[in-house]
Amino acid sequence: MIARDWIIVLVLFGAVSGIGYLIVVDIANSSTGYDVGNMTDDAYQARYDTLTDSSDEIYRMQTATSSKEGMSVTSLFTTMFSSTFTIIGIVFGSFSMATTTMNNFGQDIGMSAGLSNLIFGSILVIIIAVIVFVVISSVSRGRL
Amino acid sequence: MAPNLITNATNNVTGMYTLFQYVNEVAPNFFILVLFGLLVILFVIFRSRADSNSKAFAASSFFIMILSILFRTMGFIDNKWMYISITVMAGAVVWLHLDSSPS
Repeated sequence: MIARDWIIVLVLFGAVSGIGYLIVVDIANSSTGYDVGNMTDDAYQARYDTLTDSSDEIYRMQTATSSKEGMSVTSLFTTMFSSTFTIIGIVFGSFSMATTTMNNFGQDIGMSAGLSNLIFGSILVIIIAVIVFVVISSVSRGRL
Repeated sequence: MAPNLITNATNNVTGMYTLFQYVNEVAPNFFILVLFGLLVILFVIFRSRADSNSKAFAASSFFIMILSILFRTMGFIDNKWMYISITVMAGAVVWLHLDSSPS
């Protein structure tokens, strides 16, 4: 198992747990579900929600990698690969646009906002993690 | 006329739901055994079709998760067993990913 797999499985675990919890909440709902009382457990999210924590870490990695400090790690190669870094900056900058588009797409096909955020958010976080690790691996000359 | 039964859940059995209620009362935790047994049976069935343990376990745990939520909705099992099945499903997805990713 390489480092990126560990990050991805944390996101996957949180996403699947979250989807399961959304199913439970929807079924227990008094107006749209079967109105089953005492079925939801708020402590469940605190115990098993790895998505929020790992997403924050990955966004922090994204910011660190695309920032000037992150790029200056490879100062010897900066002149040679300056166009590559520009492309990386554009790619990282496009994630906010992609998030909005994906969420709107999910809501247009009838998904609830929570589910849309969960599914497309986790997909985007996984993509960011893979790209960040590709960048880091190319700089560190090892597959992380 | 439906037979009267000595039970607090329902006065008499009139269909599948009331029969299950009766079974759950006279044999507590019966449906947990049903879930666990189905998990094993589905895993063995899917394993004969799938080419890896992780795929078979992910498929079988998904069915068990859905079934456990339905059982909880009908009041046959406790909350914790439903949440355990959701967590097992999440773990199965993790296993599936690790199994399919190159090492």
